Amino acid sequence: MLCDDGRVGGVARGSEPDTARGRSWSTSLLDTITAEGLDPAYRVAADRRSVGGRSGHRRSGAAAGAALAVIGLLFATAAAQVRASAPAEARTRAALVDRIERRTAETDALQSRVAGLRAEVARARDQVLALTAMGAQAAENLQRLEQAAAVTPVEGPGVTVTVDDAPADEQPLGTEPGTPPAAELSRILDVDLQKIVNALWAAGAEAVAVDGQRLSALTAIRSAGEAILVDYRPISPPYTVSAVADPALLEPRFVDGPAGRELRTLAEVYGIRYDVTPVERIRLPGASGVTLRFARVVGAGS
Amino acid sequence: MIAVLGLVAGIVLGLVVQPTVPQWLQPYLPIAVVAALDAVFGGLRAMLDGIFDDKVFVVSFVANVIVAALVVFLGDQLGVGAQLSTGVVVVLGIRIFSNAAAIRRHLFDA
Amino acid sequence: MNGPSARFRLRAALRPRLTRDQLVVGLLLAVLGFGLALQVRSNRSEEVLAGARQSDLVGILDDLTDRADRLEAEARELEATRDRLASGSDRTRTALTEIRRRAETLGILAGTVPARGPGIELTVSDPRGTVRAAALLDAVQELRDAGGEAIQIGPVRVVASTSFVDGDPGVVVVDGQRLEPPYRFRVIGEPSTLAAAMEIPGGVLEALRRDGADGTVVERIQFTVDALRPLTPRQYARPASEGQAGSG
Repeated sequence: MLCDDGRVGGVARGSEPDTARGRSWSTSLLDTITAEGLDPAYRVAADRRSVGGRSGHRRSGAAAGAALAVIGLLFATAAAQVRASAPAEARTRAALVDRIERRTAETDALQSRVAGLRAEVARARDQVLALTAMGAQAAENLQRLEQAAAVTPVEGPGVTVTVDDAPADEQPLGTEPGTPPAAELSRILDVDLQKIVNALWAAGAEAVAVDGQRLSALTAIRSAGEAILVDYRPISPPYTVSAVADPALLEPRFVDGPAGRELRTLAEVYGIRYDVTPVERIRLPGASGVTLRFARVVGAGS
Repeated sequence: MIAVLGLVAGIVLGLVVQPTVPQWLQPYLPIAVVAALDAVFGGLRAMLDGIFDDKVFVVSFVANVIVAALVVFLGDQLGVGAQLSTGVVVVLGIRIFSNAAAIRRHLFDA
Repeated sequence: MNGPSARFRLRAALRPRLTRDQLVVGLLLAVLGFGLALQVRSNRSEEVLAGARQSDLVGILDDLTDRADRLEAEARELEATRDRLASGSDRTRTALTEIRRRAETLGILAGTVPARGPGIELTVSDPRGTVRAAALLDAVQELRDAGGEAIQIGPVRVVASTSFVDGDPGVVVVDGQRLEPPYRFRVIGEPSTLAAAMEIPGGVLEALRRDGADGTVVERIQFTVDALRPLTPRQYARPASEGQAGSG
């Protein structure tokens, strides 16, 4: 701060008493800051004035008034700006987060309702179709298609891959102390989940879900800022990727493949945590929201 | 008296005119406000101590604001803008508090 | 060091006595504790979304709203079908129509039937052989996110289980088939949305060009995705019940 009596940075230059040197640097700095809250220039100017024989202090003149007017203008402008942006911003942001959480709960409820309805329709339809041979055959064909398109729940043996961001207190290797931690790289990104899913498919998985969201041909894994969205729904760490397959084959293929190697590298360098566990029985829900708006079957009507 | 009138006039002017602050200036506005607060509290305490000097007040206000803004600007260029800004606010805040304590002692003997 | 007098004072302070001082201090500390608890609780519940920028939050909310709308529409349609199946005069025909419509949709998703509609053609050229499986995987994710409903790359139909693995340099193995550049994508969806998704800064085209490859996007009003994929038998995944009652 600006002090014009020879002190720099609040520490007296060349006039430290021996006792001060015994104290720690930071203590004496704080002492100085708190001790001389008042700008020493006031004291110096007052001394100068009393030497010159004038009164102890000058009544506030026009200069002070003008400076205070500017200060008032500054305060009012800053306050007006804050009121214009911050309440709107705070309101919007808090309201947004609130709405996101509520909307997520709503869509989850909707999803289970749709799943229930689909089961009802399937039951009613199969009942009707069971009355004719042709109908029964059509129902069976449909079942196979439903499995292939991932819209019905499945269960079976499989593997669960769990990944989590690096713990907050761990610094990634290779960063120098004092530099900001590479927060970006110690988080799981959407590309990491994409690669894990891709590797599971390549290793022979028959059904895959991320955090309980079944993956279909329409499901995308992407990120918006720091959040990862699966099928437009935000998910939070730790992330669970479940796959149904022959665990004896899937686990070694995954672990020895490029994704497994990459996970190990990420864990070593950035401290990301992961875990690959075979499971005896996994149940994965069916994918939801499979309405096509543009694609039509060739030869079908509009 | 003129001082108080000046402050009120400035506030009223700001509320009425509502000047739009240019985008590049906006990050420095909070720092300027804290520096101005520090100058005001210092002046108030000097007045209660009986050693107020309007030249010193003006210089301390202008210099505080400029130095604070410079420090924050330098910090932004070097990539430690947020940290330096916090540091400036901390130091100014400590001064404001100690001036406020002295003022309180004058006014309330407490 | 705490002298005996200080320890005595501490013990005296901790002994409960009903004086005004104790009450006032107790009340203030209670308020402090209450505030701390509130702060800690509110911090943890917002962890994931707290870091996101406002524009990201708006985007997430929009996506959620889209998802809710889609689910609503599906729920209404299912309810109508269920009612028709329960008490319509033409239950068999309704059931067969329903099956046929569903089979068409599922066939497109599973890759067993060709699909027609508007969309884009994305051609990725790779003169230096720098395009790897990860780039194609990323492109497919972006295309799905932008509403791609049926995708094929060359002769390979892309479905949920399509995997991308690096083969020799300049070769990507898609769903078990070796593909070489140029990689011709055909994607059915809303053409301008798909094209925009490819061309955004930081998107697929930019990443390709940064690595020395290139991509061109052509919007089509109507074309077909006719690469097909046979149904593979499932050995380990068995249909599960819907959770409550009902057959899968």
